[in-house]
Amino acid sequence: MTPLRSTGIYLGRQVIALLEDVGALARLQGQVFRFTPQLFRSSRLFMEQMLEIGNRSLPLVFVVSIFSGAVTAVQASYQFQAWVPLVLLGSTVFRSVVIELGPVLTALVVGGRVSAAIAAEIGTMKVTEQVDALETLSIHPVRYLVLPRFWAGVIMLPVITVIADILAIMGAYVVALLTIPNMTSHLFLEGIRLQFYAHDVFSGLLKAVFFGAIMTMTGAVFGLRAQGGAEGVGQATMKAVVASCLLILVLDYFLATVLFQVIFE
Amino acid sequence: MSDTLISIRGLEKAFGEQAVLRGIDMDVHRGETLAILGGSGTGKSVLVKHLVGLLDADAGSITMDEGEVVGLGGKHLYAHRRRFGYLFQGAALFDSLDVGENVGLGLKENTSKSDDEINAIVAEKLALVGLEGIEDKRVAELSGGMKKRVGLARAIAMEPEVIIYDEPTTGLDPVTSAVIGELILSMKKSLAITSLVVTHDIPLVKRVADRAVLLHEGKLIFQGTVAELFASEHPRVRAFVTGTVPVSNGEAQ
Repeated sequence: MTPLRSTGIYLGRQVIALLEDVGALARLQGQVFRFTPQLFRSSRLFMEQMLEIGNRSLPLVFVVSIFSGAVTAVQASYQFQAWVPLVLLGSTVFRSVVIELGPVLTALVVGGRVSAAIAAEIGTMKVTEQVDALETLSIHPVRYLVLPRFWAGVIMLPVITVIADILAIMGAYVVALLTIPNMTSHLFLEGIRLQFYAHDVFSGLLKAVFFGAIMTMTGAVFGLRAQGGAEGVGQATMKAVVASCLLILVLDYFLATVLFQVIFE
Repeated sequence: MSDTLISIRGLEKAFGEQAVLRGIDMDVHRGETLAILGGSGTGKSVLVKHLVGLLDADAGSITMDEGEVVGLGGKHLYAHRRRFGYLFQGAALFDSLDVGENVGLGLKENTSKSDDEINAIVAEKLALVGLEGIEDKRVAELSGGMKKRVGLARAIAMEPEVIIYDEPTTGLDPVTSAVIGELILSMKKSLAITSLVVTHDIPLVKRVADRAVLLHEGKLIFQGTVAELFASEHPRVRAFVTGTVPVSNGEAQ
């Protein structure tokens, strides 16, 4: 077989595998929407998942947000030098955080953790026949396992993003006051007030809703397709994390295009 | 005993290039205990998974009380599954739930029974398998034999017509295996239930089964009573029953 032919076959197989993943994700998403009216039947699981995704992600989000806000302030003041009035530092930090840094960094950090946890848990259930056991008890695995996780992710990621935004701006505020000459509290807050647009905040939170869906769905789809034993679960977990991060970044671009070049132009 | 509950005709299943079931024809009679025998990887578990719709057949039919099972979907499939209890090889207990929640999960999700009613049924089923008062234990705290018994309590919680035991004694010591054998007998006695026992444990077959079928290379090479199984002159059947190595000309060593 020629190298060109074998490369072609390899690429063809990769494309088929990718299309299978996309198809499985779309089918699972359809099932989740179909079962959504039954979410009340899983209210306890839903609350548990909100706690798992929300509370237990907070320590990580706390550290990432404060330092990302702080570094934004340092970088912005360095790039402003004497060319840009300091009053714009607050607005620059605020808009960067609520539109982009808050939702995307939070989604990457929380998404990695959550998609891995979901893929590992559901994957282990799959390979130990616990998913089959649910089926034999006449319980649909998507309704029982995926539905509460999906809605918990969709609801909790925007909540965590709000907390991350506040922490990041506080981090930037403290660093700006401590390290930038002539910066005052009034100047920083005035900058935020000058260029505060509600649609910036709305856009950031809308992104978080979509990212919450992505991180839970990637975990679920790869978990439910896990095969074999521990190795299969490991593969599923790795694929879920990679897919979650990639899809978050790709979707971020498309959402930014739609939101800022079409809707809020 | 001759009243046919489940009828399987021409059942075929392949995974990729590998044909696992190659035309299975068999009946399950109401109230009997049928042993499904065969070496490792001969498709015993694949066969019983078709009965509850966990796998889709490539060809053939499965009827239960005249109703076709192959191709069932949605509500009809879930209603069909409620007629079965399934004890998995590794018990497949949900490790995020405690013992009581495991046993009561099917009732909680499929019936409108109150928590008190479910708790009473859970206690009753645990008592039936000899494990009173362990509702609050975590799954990780249970031994292999206890897991199997909790799995059995879960399988009978919704009072099924048929119980499928998938390798119920695999990985257990002889004493615990004997206890599981006694439980299968007592389930039959107390619940008047039809049982399918997937196994390669010959002493268990002797103790609990009324009839047996033997799978070899995707086909049934024996169907009959347990007495007929042990009297069979078929070299493969003899080799399986006596635990000897079959030689290439078909004779058992």
